[in-house]
Amino acid sequence: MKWLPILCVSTTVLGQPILIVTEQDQNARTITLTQHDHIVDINSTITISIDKTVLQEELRRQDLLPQEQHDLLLRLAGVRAALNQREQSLSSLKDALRFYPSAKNPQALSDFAQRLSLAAAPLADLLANVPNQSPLMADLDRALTPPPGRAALTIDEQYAAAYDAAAREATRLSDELRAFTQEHGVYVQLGAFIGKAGEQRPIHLPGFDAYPTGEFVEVERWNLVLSEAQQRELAQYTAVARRVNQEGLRALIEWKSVAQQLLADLAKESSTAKCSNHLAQTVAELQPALGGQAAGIKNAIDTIATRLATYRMTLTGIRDKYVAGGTATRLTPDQFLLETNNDITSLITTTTTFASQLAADAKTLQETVTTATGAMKDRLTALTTELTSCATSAQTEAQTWSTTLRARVRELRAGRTFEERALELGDEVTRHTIDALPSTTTVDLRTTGARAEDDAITIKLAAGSNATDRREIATRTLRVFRVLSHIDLTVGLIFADPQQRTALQRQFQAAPAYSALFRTGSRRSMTWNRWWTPGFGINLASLDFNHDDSPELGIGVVGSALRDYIQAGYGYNLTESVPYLYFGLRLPVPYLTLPATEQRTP
Amino acid sequence: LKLYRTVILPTDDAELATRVLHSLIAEQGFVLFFALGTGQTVEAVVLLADELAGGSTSEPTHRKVVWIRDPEPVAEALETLASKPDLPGVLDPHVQAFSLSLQDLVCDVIRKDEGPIGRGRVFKAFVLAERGL
Repeated sequence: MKWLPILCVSTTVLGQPILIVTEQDQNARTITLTQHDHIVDINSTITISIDKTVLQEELRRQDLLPQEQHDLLLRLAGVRAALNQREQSLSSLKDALRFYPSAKNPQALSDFAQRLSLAAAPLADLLANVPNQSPLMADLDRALTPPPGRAALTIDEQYAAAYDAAAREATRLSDELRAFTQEHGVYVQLGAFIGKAGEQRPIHLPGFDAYPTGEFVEVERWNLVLSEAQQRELAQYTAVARRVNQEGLRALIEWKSVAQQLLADLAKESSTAKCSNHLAQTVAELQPALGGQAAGIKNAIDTIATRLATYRMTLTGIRDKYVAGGTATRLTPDQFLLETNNDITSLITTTTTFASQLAADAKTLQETVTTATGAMKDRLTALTTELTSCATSAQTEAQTWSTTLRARVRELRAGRTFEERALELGDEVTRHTIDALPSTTTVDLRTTGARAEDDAITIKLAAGSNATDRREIATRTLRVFRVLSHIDLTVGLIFADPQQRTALQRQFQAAPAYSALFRTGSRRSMTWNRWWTPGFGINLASLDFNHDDSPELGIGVVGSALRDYIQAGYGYNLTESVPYLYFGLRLPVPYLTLPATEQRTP
Repeated sequence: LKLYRTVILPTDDAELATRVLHSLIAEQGFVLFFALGTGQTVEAVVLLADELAGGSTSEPTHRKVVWIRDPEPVAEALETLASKPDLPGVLDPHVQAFSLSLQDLVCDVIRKDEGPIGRGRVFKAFVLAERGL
C-alpha cells in the first residue's frame, strides 16, 4: 500500500491536536498528555481520543474530504449534539414552565429566564443556521401541527416534537452520508505500534483493528528476585572479578574482541569477500589464455583484475586491522567504537561502488564477448554471469550492512534509534467511515506483551479515499519508562577498599555484587530516564578479604547513577567484621551490547 | 380571525400603542413574537404564532404575540431595541416578523423573502428568543 508524503505530526496547521492521549497510571492518577509530553509509565492504561471536528477540518484542508461530505458531517454532528441533550433540555423546560406562573418579581423572572435559556439551548443551536426551506423545517411544520381535536400543542410538546423531527433528520443525514460515502468513500484508520527499531509490533486498539490482544505482562515494580539472566551475569562477573584480582584491570578490555571478530569476519567470510576471491581466481586463470583474443577483451579482463585486486586489498586491510594483534586492538574503547563505525561506513561505500563497477564491467564484457573465439567464448560468458551475480550480491550485502551493522554501532554510541516511518497500518486495521469512526479507544499497556523501557509507542491516524491514496494525518510517539517509584535489581562489579584493615595487597578488591535500588522515573525528561536514572538502596557483595576462596558477605548502602554504570557506597564485611568503601561499575562484558543487563520483561 | 395570545396594537393612537408596547416589553415577563404589517401573509403568521404561544388552551405561558399592523406610530420605541449581531433592523422594510427575548433582545428576524412561513419557522423564532443571551 502506497503512502503519500506524510505529515508526521499529531496536530493540524492550526495547532489543535487531532489525537489526544490520556494516561491512567497504576496509582490511579489520570494525566492528559500535552503535545510536549512523550513519556508514559510502562504499566499504564492509555486512552486515545480523536477530535473529530479537528480531523474533519484537516481532511478538508488536505482535500481528502469533499465539501459536500464535510457539510453533511457538520450538519449530522449538529443534530446529534442536540439529540444528546434532549432529555436534559426537556427536563429543564418542564422545571422552567412549572416555575413560570410565580415568576413575577425581577429575581424570580431572572431565574426563569436562565432555566428557559438552558432548556432552549440545544434546539436553538441546531435551528439557528437551518434555512427555512429545508427538509428539517418542513418536517418541523408537520410535527408541530396539532392533532385533530386539539387547538394547539403545549410548549413542552412542541419541544418534544422538535426533537423527534431532529431524530428523523439525523437518520436522513446518515442515509445521505452513507450513500455519498459509498460513492466517494473516505475512510480513516487508527493504528498503534510498540517496540524498538526493527522489532515494532502492532498493538490491539479496541474498535479500530482486528489484531488479537497481546500477552498480559506487568513489569514488576517491587521485584527483589534476580532473573535468570541476572544470575548468569552474576556468575560472569564472578569470573571477571577473579581475573581482575589476578591480572588487574586490563582483563576488562576483552569485550573488544567480539567487535574485532565481527569486522574481521566481515572482511573474510562475507558473500562479497568470497565471490570477489573466486572471481579473482577465475580471472587469473583466464588471463594467460587470452593470447589470440581481441584487444577489447584483454582490456576488459585487465580492468576487472585491477578492480578485484583493489577491493580485496581494502578487505585485507580491514581484516588485518581487527585480527588479534592488529592496530585496532591498541585503541581506547572510545576510539575503538569510532574507528569501527568509520570502517563500516567505508566498507559499505566501497562495496556499493564495487557492485556498480562490477555490473558495468559485466556489461562491457558481454558486449565484447561476441568477438571471442573458440572455447574462450563460453568461459567469458560464464565470467559475465559470475560478475553480474557478484555485483548483485555485493549490492544487497552493502545495503544489509548499512542497516544492521551501522545501527548496531549507533546503538553503542548513541542509544537506540526508532524508524517510525517504516511502520505501516496493516490490513487488520479497520477502515472506518468518518461518521462511524469511534471517538476513543483505551489500551492497557500491560496487554501489549513483553516491552522494555524506552520502547516507543507510535500512534498513527491515516485517511484515504481509495486504496492507493492513503495519507498519514497524524502521528504521536510516546516512550514507555518505569516512571512510577520502583525497585531495580542490578548486577555488577564492585571495587572494595577496606582501607588497609586487611592483608590485601591491592588497594581495591573486585567482587561480584548486586544492588536493590529504589528509583523514580521522570514524566518530562528522556535524558533522566535514559541516562541519569539515579537510585539508592542496598548492595550485597561476595567478598574475599582473607583470600581463603570462601565468599564473605558484604552489605552496604549504595547510590547509583548513569544507568548503574557508576555506583558508590559504604559497606561492611559481615564475615570479617571489616567496613569498606566501594565503587561499582556495570561493564559491558562480555558482549558488544549496551547496557549489559537490559531490563526487559519476559 | 380568532386570536387568544395576541395583542393587536392600535394604529390610530400612537401614545396608547407605545404605552402598550412598553408595558409588554419592559414590565411583563414575556417572550414576544412581533408580526409587522397587514395582509394575508402576516395574518397567517400571526395565527401560527398565536397557536404556538398556547392558542385557546388554558395553560398560562410565557409566550405572547404582538401584532403591529402599522409600525409607524411605535417606530421610535422599536428603534431602541437591541439586536443580536448580523440581524437586520426590525424596521427594515424586508422584515415581516421578529422575536424578542426576556432580556429585551431581538434574537431572530423573519424576512419577507424567506418564502412561505410555517409553524417550524415561527417555532424557531420563539426558541431563539427563549435561548436569549
